[in-house]
Amino acid sequence: MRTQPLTICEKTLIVESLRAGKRLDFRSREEFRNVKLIVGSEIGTAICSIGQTKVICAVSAEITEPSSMRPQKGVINIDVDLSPMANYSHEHDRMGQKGMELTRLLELIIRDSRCIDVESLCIRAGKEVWKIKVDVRILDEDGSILDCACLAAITALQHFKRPNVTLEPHHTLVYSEYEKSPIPLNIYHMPICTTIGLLDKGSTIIIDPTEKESECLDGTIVVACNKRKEVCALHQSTNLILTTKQIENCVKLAMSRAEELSSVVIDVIRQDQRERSAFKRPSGFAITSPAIILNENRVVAQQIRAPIKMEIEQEEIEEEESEKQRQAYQSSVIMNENPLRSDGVKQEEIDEEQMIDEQLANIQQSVNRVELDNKQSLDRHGEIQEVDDLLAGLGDDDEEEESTVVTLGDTVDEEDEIVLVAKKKRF
Amino acid sequence: MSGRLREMRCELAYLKNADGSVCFSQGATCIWASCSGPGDIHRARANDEKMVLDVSFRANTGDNKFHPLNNIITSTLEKVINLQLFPHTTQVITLHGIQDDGSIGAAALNATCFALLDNGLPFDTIFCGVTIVRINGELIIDPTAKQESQSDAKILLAVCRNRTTSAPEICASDTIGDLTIDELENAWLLAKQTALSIFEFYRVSLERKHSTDFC
Repeated sequence: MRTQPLTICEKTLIVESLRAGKRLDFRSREEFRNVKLIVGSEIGTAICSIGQTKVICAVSAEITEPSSMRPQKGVINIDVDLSPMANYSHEHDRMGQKGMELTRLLELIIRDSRCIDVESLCIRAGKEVWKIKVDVRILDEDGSILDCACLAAITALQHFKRPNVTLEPHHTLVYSEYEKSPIPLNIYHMPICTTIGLLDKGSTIIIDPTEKESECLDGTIVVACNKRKEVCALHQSTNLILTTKQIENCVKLAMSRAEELSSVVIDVIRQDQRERSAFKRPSGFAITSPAIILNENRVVAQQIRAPIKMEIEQEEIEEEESEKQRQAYQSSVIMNENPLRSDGVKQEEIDEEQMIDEQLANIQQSVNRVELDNKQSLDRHGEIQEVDDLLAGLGDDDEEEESTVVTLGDTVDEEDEIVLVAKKKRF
Repeated sequence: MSGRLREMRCELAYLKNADGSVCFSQGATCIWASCSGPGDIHRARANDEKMVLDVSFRANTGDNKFHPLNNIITSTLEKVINLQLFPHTTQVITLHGIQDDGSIGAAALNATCFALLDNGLPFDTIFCGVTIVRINGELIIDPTAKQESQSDAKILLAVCRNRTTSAPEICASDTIGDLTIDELENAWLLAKQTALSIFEFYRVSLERKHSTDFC
């Protein structure tokens, strides 16, 4: 499915407001959106959301043969999936240009920045190494996908633990998590990505642009830094010419962001480890914090009881009866059937008899009711009298005049007010 | 005969870009579902007679070109949606198995129905999924991953509601393992009751969502 392009008036609105230092989501130009990080109950999974962009990353490991060029090094494989869930312009199982760019950049940031110790992933040189698969799934797109994907991947890698192995002379033993505790990856540093939008040939900087904003921008620059103030990757889209000062400014912004976010990642991982060491099974992704309360609903665990055979039979009989009744009432059903068939005529006769019986019963009941009414009519005289009294009370003009005068006057005594209230009550 | 249905949670209209979406969880099993459409489709893949359904279940890891759940979901939807109402169009349904703790098939079917209800696509009748496994001759509804691994037979039923009598009926099923007819019958009795409580959950959730729209 194709998406609607941004309209010209919308574009001018966004660009003009950005130049004036305002944004449609009430941020300033140099303000980030909120980041949410959740780790799953399965090991090596994390969901990250920046604003409305949502990405899940799952890390898994398998044993493979290393390449002949690097016989002592483990393999890191990055796979990005852009499904129609993220944006309906994508297609299932088709990478597309956007997906390719994302994969390349993630490879640059995670693999080529050498943040993971690949030598420790070697089991037998030249024969067996661990292959770490990083599967990134984009779930919703609203700008800065790379930031979100990178953060999710880093958190998942921190969360991941590979199974323990022992080497025997002729084979390798792989242990489950119950036999030998799994081993976390050796991670040297955490590269954290920041997308910075550029407007007016790089003179205006817009941090963390949303999808609509990024469609109006001249270009973006992506800076990946770690908390030790090192630049791990730098990528600029479109061919803008930037001065060193502009790039330095961007890098500075990215560095402060990287420091903030790496402490968040560490906090999340620590919290999870604490829960796991207390033998609590974390609920992971099952718990969500709803954005709109009315859209969320839950029902507690419930006992399901299937009825015993007898009950079922009874129910079935009841159902049959109710169906018969329904057929009798639905005129369209009878109309569609042949009206001349003997069955239909019989039914009508029975119905008529029933109807007559019912009518008779109704008449008899109503006769009784009439008697009751006669009794009630005695009380009515009292009622009429009461009404007359009330009407007589209303007729007194003096009281009404008095009340209007009081309300018009500015100085109202408390006593008068009480009198008024009392009168109103009487009315 | 009794069983336990785990806690169900849903959050509708969860994603920004999709037309209808839900985050649905059954115990610790969590599925995100989205659907978009009816929308335009490439001429080569379009059908002149009916809407083209594009269903894909995507697991967290590995290649997602084919998943066994795609078939049962597609065939259920074909029965439930009147596809001939929307020729030349497509409906794209994507399911992400975010977290697997057993009965992923049932959760996927429930999430699909929720996403479609959220989208507002007209369809004939609602449906739900029920997973039942047999452990040591005992039937268990809505098993966890641990129970599923211990089981020797597994039944996945797609249950829809009869249009006239509104009683639950099977519209698709996937059975693995040797089961006698009696066991299947008992499983169906359990599934029937489960389906009723899931349908009730649909109704309450949707009523809640639309409670402000109609005022």
